[in-house]
Amino acid sequence: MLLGVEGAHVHYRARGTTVEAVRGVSLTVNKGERLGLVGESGCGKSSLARAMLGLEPLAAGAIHFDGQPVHGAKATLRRRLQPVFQDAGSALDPRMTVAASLREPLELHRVGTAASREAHLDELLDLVQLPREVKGRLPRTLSAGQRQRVNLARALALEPELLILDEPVSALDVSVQAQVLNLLESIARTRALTLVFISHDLDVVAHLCDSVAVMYAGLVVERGPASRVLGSPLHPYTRALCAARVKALEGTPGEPPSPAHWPPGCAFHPRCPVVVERCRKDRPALPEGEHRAACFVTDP
Amino acid sequence: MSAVEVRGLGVELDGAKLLDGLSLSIEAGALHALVGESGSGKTTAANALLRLLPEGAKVRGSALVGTVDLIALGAAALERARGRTVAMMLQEPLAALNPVLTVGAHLTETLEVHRAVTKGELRSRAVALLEEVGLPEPASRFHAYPHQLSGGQRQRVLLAAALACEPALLIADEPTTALDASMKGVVLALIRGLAERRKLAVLLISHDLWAVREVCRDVSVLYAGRLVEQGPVAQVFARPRHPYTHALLAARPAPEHRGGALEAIGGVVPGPNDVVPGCRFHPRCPRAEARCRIEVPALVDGCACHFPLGGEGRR
Repeated sequence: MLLGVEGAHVHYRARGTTVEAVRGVSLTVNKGERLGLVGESGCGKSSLARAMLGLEPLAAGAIHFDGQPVHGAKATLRRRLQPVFQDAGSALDPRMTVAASLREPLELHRVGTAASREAHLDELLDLVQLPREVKGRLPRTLSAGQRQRVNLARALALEPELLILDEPVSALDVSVQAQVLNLLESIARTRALTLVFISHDLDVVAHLCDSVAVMYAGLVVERGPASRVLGSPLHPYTRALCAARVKALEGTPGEPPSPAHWPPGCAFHPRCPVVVERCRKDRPALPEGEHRAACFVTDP
Repeated sequence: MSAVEVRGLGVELDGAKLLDGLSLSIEAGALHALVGESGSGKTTAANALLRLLPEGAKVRGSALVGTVDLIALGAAALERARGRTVAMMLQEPLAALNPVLTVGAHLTETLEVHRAVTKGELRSRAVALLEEVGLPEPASRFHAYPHQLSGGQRQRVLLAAALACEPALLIADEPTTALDASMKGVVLALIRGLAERRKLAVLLISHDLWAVREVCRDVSVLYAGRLVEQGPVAQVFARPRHPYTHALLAARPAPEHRGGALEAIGGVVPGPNDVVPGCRFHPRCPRAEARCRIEVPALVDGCACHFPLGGEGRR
């Protein structure tokens, strides 16, 4: 186990009320695993990702990387897990050249000498298949796809073991998205990287990931190998998402709930086609097992 | 003749050709998808039809909606046409709605400005519109503010506002892009149902060919400001003829092409100021030959390509 999340809660305080974005998530990610974290806006997947990076404090629970807590971790641990965010435009400092953006993490972590860092920059650009002449350019002069490659190169600069990617290709055009996905896949394979890949796009997750956790209303509702979760989903919510993937006109009645007012019991019950009385009161737990769902009705 | 006939629509701004000779027709009650990646000119086309282009833009061609040519209208006639002949449903509902106005005020304002109904009928007409777009509890939501609604509900309010003056043509610019996966299908089905019931022609703009395949009758694929393929959606999907359309479909990660690398299209879409002689797709095209670098291919049988797929006989 490389990453362990145990009963994680992430809360935000807004206008005197507490919003429970993540409400008790436990999951483990093994070395070399590529976990797809899927769910709709407001389900807590980005909050969970930020907590995994130690960027968001936990209201309860713990998150460990290689046996050590990520919250309050020293730089030597933190450099081993790196984020890639969705909007490469805002993730990069608009006033810093590509070279300066790539050099920064190396300088902060005192990697190598000034001369060896310059050689390292060239290697990073080769790795993400960017021409070396982009070194002197500012982010705004690059295309969206090129910016996301720079972002990826920056995340890889410290040779992390785990990448946490939050919707890294969602803002890209289809033709460019395929280039970046191919690149990411080949880097993950050659460097034996562990990935936590957050996406609302099940097709992208199915392509890249070997396991999937489905989040709804701040909880993981289904977990298992990607082929099984996406091929034979158990939870009614996952089933609805998978149906929408094949039939564009399939939707789920109702709308995703607001983090400010989670429905009681199973949070999916107001939209669920197979709801029973118990779902309105009790919250179903996520059982143990290879492929499992938090549902009273679906029997795995 | 179709309800909407766009002929040779072109837009030039500061010497750059943003859109070059777009022609398409839409039947009453049908949806036509205008598909392309960033820089393809799809939003420029929408803005040209609504006459929302910046000053100095040179527009060519015509766009007939019934007997009205949107491109040729003078200022006063244009004011009357907007909302009544052509209406727009915007992409980002939170930005498109005024946060200090109630849902009802958005609709009654539109109805009042266009004098669509008498003052006494304003409220009942607005509530009826909200009901038609499937907003739950329309009478009480009439008094709600945009922030009190969910994303899907806001999208429905925008749709109601667009339909308020019974336009013949609705332009929907990426209506599902900002929505969650479980909501996209619901909104697309709603738009299609309204189009059929109201005999409304819809131009559905999307960057995602796959997302609109089930609701649209026809599709026009744009690349770098030019129409590259056009035809019935089912046909374009089953047998794409332009290498770009084919590549777009193949680049999408999908169950049917599982495993191995995705068929990425190398390079990037050229910008409006980039000079690309011949076919604008040729630098990225696996089938390109010498002729493609020199000669602009004309649209023949719905495909603008010198060497279309499945069309080897034309070589």
